[in-house]
Amino acid sequence: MREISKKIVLLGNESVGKTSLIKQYVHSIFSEEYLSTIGINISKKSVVTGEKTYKLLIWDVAGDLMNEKLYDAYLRGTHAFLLVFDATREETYQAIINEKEVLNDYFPDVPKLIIGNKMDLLENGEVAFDASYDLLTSAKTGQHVENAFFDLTKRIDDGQG
Amino acid sequence: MDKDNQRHLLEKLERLVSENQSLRLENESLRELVKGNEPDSAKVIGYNNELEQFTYVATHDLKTPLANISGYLDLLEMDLENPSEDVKDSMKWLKYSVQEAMNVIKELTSALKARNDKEDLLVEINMNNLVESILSGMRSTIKQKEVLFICNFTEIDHFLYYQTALRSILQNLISNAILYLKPDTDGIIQIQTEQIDDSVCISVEDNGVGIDLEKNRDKLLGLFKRVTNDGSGSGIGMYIINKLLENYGGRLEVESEVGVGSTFKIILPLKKT
Repeated sequence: MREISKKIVLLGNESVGKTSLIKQYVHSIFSEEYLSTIGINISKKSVVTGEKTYKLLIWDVAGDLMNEKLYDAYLRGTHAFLLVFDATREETYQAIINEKEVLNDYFPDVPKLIIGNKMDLLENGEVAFDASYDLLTSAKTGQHVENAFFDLTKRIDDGQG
Repeated sequence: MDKDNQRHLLEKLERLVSENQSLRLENESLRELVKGNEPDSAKVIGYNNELEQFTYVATHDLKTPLANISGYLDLLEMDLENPSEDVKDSMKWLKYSVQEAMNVIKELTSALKARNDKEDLLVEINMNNLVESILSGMRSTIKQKEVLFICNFTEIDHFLYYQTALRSILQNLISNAILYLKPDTDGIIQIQTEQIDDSVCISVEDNGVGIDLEKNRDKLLGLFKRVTNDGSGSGIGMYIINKLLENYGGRLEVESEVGVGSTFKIILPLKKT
């Protein structure tokens, strides 16, 4: 079956766990050691939804690179965004909400999924501040990580913006 | 035997004696020449041994100060009261760099130990990990120069090769790419892999100053030869890359355009276990 390539971009502040989410999703590994990403790393994974097979090209963008220069040069052609915040740090949620507003101007029709990572650190599994998100994940335990990428692929498949 | 024949024979004998004499002289001078060359081969072996000895001593002697730095960093970290995030970050990268230097020493030591059996050094390369480790060691330069790295190893990210050699090759290529970026343009360096038949091609592409290959192709791989006149670079990096590829298998290809940038491709044979 022919694979359809789709570009997915993960955005979010430094140390919210973007790289860990990708490592968990693509390689099923997690490391406690934190090395902030330098630049952009691209990984791939195949996903089957219904009768289609998608080759996801997953762009891990360093948290310190979030600026509009980046949008013009590198985010063109993105099919979906995964906006990641740290469920234990409110400022990272605010950052992602601001980011989503800018993204809506640049890429109004591209699906965007907001996920709160590090749910394993939450007391009673609840986010302690007001937040509206699509999913909580844990890159450490792997909880809901597969679902996050699958939901995003479904949204691409359904053509949802 | 008549007199004429006798004279003829004597003449022949004299000629033979004379030819023999000149052959002996020629032989002796050749022997002298070979003797004269002998010390050169011995010199080469001597240099080689010296180099090996030097590497042993350097790796051994560097271990102690590095261990000291590491220990003092731990002490310093314990003594720091409420360090700022910047200080914490600097401490973290200092420790990381020391650890990386120790890893390089460890790799060099095992490379020397296994020198006679190169196959022992053949390991599975994880491109993501290798490049991440190289870039992390250059983090402060990358930040200072605001270089954007784009790494794409989706086509092939695991293959067999010699880790120490590949680390050195990539480190030199990446350092050069950073060094020759244009000061007035946002620097972008793309590193990617591609599988071509039975080879893996690793390319390091930059948007730097570029090289006039028509003028400089011969200079490019020479020792202490620089392709720019601005005094940057030592002229050793490309020579090392070429020697490593000659020794461990592989070749280098260069595409470049002045003012646009360069792409260095290293093509390595895909080895089987």
